[in-house]
Amino acid sequence: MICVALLVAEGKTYFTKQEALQEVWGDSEIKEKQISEHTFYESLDSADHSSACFNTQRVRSKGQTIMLHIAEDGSIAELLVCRFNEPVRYKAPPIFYQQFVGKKLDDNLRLKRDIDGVSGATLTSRATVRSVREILAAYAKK
Amino acid sequence: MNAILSFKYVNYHAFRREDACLGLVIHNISIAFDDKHATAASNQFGLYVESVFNFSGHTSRFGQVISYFAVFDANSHESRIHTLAFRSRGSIIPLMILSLITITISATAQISFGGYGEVSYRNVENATDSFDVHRVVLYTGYEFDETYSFSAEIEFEHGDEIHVEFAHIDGNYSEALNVRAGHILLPMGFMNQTHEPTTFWSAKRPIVERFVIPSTWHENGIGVWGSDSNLTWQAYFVNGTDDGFDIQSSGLRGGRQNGERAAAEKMGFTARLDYQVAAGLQIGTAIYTGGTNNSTSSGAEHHVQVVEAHVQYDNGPLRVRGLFADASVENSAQLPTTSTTDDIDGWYVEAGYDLLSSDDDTSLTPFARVEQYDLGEQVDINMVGIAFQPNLNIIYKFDLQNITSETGGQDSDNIEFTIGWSF
Repeated sequence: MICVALLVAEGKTYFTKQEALQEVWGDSEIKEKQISEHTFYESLDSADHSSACFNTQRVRSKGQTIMLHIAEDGSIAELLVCRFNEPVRYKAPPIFYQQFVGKKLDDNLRLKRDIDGVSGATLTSRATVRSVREILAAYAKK
Repeated sequence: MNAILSFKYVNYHAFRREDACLGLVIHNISIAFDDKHATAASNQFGLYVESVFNFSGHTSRFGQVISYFAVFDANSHESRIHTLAFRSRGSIIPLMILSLITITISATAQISFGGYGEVSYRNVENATDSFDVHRVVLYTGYEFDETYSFSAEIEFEHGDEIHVEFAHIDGNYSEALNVRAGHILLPMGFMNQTHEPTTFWSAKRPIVERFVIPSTWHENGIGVWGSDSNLTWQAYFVNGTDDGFDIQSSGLRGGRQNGERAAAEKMGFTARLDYQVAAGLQIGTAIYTGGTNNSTSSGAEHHVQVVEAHVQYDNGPLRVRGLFADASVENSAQLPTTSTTDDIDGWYVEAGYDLLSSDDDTSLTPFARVEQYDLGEQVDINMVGIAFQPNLNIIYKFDLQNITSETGGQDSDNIEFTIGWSF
């Protein structure tokens, strides 16, 4: 008895996992490191101590997946929106995501603190902050 | 909100037995115990491996079924492997039913449900107080594929009115080009497209955005929308208004057709631009221009025009909003309900400060609003209030209004309270 039903998640893909990692490290070889439930990607180049991690959070009823590129000092080097499953109109503009660059995990890395929300994209803003904080919290356990 | 289910599994190992038939089922199962699992699971597909037969000795029998599950998260592109920790004995038939059910359940990943609503109390000086189930709105969305989606809201107002608030197909071709067609919300002001009660503090929407911009304004139409970097645009052709305006009483509200068997001899055009100047500063403007579908064959032309500009500023716990709107109805003195003026306008500025900004999920926001509008007589509204959100989806709002008018006929001190929700 074989029954096959393959379903593909809907939504917009901006970067596949491979493309997102290539944005950071090009074609360099990378390795994986598991920290609790999170998979961190690192370059095999011993001179590069940065890491990257993917995270998905619910926006309204669907998910947004981001990739965070973390510098050696724990600050955010880059944030890529890889996939957005909500209607595109809920997605925040680029200037919102750019706020996270250079920031580290502390209590001010939240909306209404160091991160300003965007009119019409409040739920996306919240989901992004949750993703970032979750990744950085796991990174802190490295 | 997805109605889906998600099992949580422990570990996995592959197996092959001489006396077993290896069945392969690929589908999406998720039973959610909480929202996080619901979210993660809704975008996963699983590899369901089952052992269908387990022959014991020489006796063939339908027997043990061992199910294993490998979950691939299509969002994070991670894979996790789990086992379903159950064993069951039984015939093939229940297994077939299980498989059919799981396939059916997985289809719900493309369907979204949501809604919002408000129940409002108003203590109105010199008028009858009211306690009203103002609106209960149900949202549904469906993604046909990566390009096309459907979204709709059905609104029940005051317990006995039903409206389609919007129902449209979106074609998402690129960031810059999306086509929307069907019954749409006009892209005017803050409230018309985003008016869930959790998105503003006052018990009722600002008067300027009920009378000058007649929110909620929805008609049938087609148009485009998109964004490039921090600039967003929208432009639609819609059916025009009718001549049911009662401008002195309710501004433009009476001219809305709500797309309900709407007359479309005269059409309208609306467009909007929003620009994110900085992370906490957005400015925008919108226009509407269109003809009026008269209720009688004779009669003057009543061209309608609306212009608005808005700004929102966020800085930590502080939010400030400002909006100005100007509208005109040509030859309004010849409308079925005559008007003393063709032109109406209004503006408001409001500010709120979240006292619980250290908490991500709750907020307590005292706020103040200064509002002024003129439908033929200038009216000033000063408001102070407070909005409390115990979580992101529920809001309790309380405000005090002081209304003064040129002639004094609309003067009133009111108390308002609204319970609102959104999910």
